[in-house]
Parts: sequence; structure tokens; C-alpha cells
Amino acid sequence: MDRITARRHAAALAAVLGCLALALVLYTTWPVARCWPTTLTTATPCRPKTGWPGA
Amino acid sequence: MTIAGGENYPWLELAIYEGQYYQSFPPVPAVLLLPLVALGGGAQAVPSNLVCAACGLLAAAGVYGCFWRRGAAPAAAAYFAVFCAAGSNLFWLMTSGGVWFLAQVMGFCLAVWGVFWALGPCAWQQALAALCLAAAVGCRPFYALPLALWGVLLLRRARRQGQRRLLWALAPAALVAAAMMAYNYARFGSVLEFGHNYLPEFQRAADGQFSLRYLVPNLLNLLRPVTLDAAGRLQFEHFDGFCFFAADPLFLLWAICGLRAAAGRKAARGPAAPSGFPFPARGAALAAAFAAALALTCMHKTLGGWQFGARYLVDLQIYPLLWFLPRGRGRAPGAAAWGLCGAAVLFNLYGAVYMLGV
Repeated sequence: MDRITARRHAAALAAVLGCLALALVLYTTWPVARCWPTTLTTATPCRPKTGWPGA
Repeated sequence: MTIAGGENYPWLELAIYEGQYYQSFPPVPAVLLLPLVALGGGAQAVPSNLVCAACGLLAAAGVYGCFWRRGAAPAAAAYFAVFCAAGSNLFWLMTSGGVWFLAQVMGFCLAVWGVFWALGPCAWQQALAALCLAAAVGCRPFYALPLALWGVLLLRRARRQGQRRLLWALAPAALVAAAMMAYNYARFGSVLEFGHNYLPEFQRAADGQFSLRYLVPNLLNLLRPVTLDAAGRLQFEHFDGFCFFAADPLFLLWAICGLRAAAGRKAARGPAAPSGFPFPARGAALAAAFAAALALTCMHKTLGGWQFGARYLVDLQIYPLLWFLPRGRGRAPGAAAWGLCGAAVLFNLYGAVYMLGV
């Protein structure tokens, strides 16, 4: 693989992972943050105290 | 291996066997989290949501890596990574580190990295493939089917290339399998029993955990439509799944592309099963494997309970990936394919947010 193609692959992978990580961070740091982290022993679904949208 | 005072934790879905309480899920996710338990000084300190999200990102990277290894263009590799991670139920699963979701996300992650290493040329990469695929089975047992498909092709290839490579490749899988079987036997006297059969809900069921009687009702559950009500809001079932190709349109894309290929429109674009691909690449073989896995999934008493989409079908995304992998060399997805992926991402983002309020 030539250097240009390798750079394009690196940029594409970084873009995919960056967007996905951003989506997950936004999702988890907003309403769900109040029950972070769940644990192995009390692994109930992580739910916010108030729902969204509308609550 | 038993859990003292297990009757005090009804939400943990503990198996009850001969008066003792046991954790009933396949053991690999718990084993992989043990270092974090040791680091944090206890299970309470393990950030399961973070681990689950990290496994999801790793899975997306694995999908990208598989297509990169097969010579796909950056756009095509990114397309499938986005589709699998954000355009499917995997996204919602990534957002919660409960045992049900963690097992699925880890299983998919290990399976795609198993495929990644299986695409490599060296014996040590084949060994890593065996380790990852066997560990995926220890998360979600139905990954035994892709592992078996890979193993059969490896056996055939070994006849031509000698036994040493085969031994290298299969040794880690055999070790993982032996460890899991010993664990099962020590707990339940059966090498195949992880404990789920001893969950009270399956003990109470007249037909047990798996039965042909569940097949048709569950298949129909996977076809329940998503509709719009009078106010323009989406309406869908929240229990035991809905239309799987609405929540996971990768299956829809596979069906469309597979039918087009079968109709011969793309016959001029090269052989369907290129030499050196370590999994069955023929559409009919993969469709048969998918159908078998789907039937087994639908013979389970439940389809995953409370959920958005059809989360058990995330375990089956490996089949469309194995179909697209040998066919994606040097080609970028078209506008229609990107449109389908975008719609899938939006629908799954909506679903993940929607489920916060249900």
C-alpha cells in the first residue's frame, strides 16, 4: 500500500471512530450520567431518573 | 462458583441448580473484566458502560480493518464500519454495560477481530483468529457457526499446506473450548451447559429454553412493522423485537445485493469466492448459514425481552460482512447505499434516545 492510500485509510478510520466516540460521549454524559457506572454486580439497565424527551 | 445468598439478587437472572445459585451467562466477558476488577479493588468500581462503549469502538475498527485488509477503498471500509456500529442495534447496545449488552458487543467485537486475523497470512495470525473466534463463542454461543465454517476451510487448506499451520491455528480455540467445557462440567455436570437452562423462567416454561414451538412466533416477531401514528410518531414494539431489517438494514442491503448478484447482473465483476478467503464466500453458503443461525435464534424462548430493534440479530451481522468482504475490493458505495446507511444511523440514534424515556 502506498503512503497516500495509507494516509487516506488512517484519516477515514479516525473520522469513523471520532464521530462514533463523540456520539457515545454526548449520549452517555447527558441524561445517563446520573447512573454511571453500572457494575457487574448491580447490572440493571442504566436508566435516567427522568426520561427524555418530554420529561 | 456458586453465589452465596443468590436469592437476594433476583434481577441478576441467576441459575438455580441443586439448591445453589450460579451466574448463568457464558463466562468470557466476566473473565475479560477481571483485570479491571483487580485494578479497581472490586466489581463495583468497573465502569461497565465505558468498557461496553470501548468494545463497540473496537468492533468498528475491526470491521474497518477487515475491509482494509481485503483491499477496499477507504470510503467502502468506513461505510461498513459506520453501518455496523451506528447503523445497527449495536449502537444502542454500546450505550449500556449491563451483562446482556456487554456480552453481545464483546462477542461481535471478538468475532470481527477473529475475521481480521483470519484474513492474515501468518500462522500466528491464524492462532489469534482462533482465539478471538473461540472467545466470541464464550460471549455468544452461536458464534460457534462462523468458527466451524472457518475451521472446516482451514482443515481443507491444511491438507495442501501441512499440519503444522493447522495445529498453530486450532490450538488456542481448543484451549478456550476445553476451559469453557471444564467450567461448565464443574458447575452443571455438562460440558455444554452454561447455566441458562437452569434459569427459573426456562425451568417454568413447558417447552424449556429452546424449542421448535418458538420458531414461527419469534420469526413473526422479527417482522412486526414500524408504523406512524396519527400524530406522526413512530410506533414499534418494545418487547422481543420488531422488523429486523428496519433496525439492522445491513441485512436489507445484503438481500438486495445478493439477489442482484444471483440474478447475474454482476457476474462480470469477478469470481464470487476468491481463492485465499478463509470463510465461505458463496452467497448460497452464507445465506444457508445465516438461515440456520436465524432459525436457532428464533427457537429460543425469548428474543431478548425489552429492547429497541432486534438485538439478537446483531450476532448475525457477521454473515453479511463475510459476503461483502470478498466483493468490496476497490469499490466505493453509491449514493443509494450511503442513503440507506444514513437512514439506518438516524433511526438507531433515534431509538437509543427514545429508549431513555421508555
